[in-house]
Amino acid sequence: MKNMIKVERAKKNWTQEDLANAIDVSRQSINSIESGKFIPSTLLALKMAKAFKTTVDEIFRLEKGD
Amino acid sequence: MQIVKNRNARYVIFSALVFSLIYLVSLFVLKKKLVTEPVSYAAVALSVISFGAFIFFYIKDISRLDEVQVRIHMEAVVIGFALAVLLLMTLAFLSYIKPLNVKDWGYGQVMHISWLLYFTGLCITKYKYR
Repeated sequence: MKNMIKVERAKKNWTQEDLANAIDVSRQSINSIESGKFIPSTLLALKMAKAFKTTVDEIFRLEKGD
Repeated sequence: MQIVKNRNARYVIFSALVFSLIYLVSLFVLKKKLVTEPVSYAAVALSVISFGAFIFFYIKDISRLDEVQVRIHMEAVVIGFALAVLLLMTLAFLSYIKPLNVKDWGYGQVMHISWLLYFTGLCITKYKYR
């Protein structure tokens, strides 16, 4: 699965810490999700989408083979 | 939310300190046989209860973490448990070959090693999700 978290953060000029504070998780969690080491739950994906004022499928996209 | 997290963390630290103190005192009095048998049983019971309280607050604190941190602790437990079982199995097999020295490989020592194995698991998973 591909994610656009880094791109969305850049649009808002947010650091990982800013995003972590916005959705009440640790910076380490944001880093793990952003680097693709961890796939977030639907709830966290929705919170992220809400924080970026976009939709979940704009942030997370399936790749070939998923 | 942050206040609740801090309060839980304080409970974990406090219960860990209480358990450590009771454990060390119990270990000392039981090893040196300083008290009567009924008091010895009471020392064991106190250690068990304080450990139970510590684990209760620890699990409660973990459940308040975010999903990545919960995963880290879950994987650490799995690694720690697997390594502890591996250690016990190895010791069990070795004891059939030659009885092990209880002073080096008693329940107390294995318990300390088990804690070490859990923290090893925690380091591995923290590194994995860093």
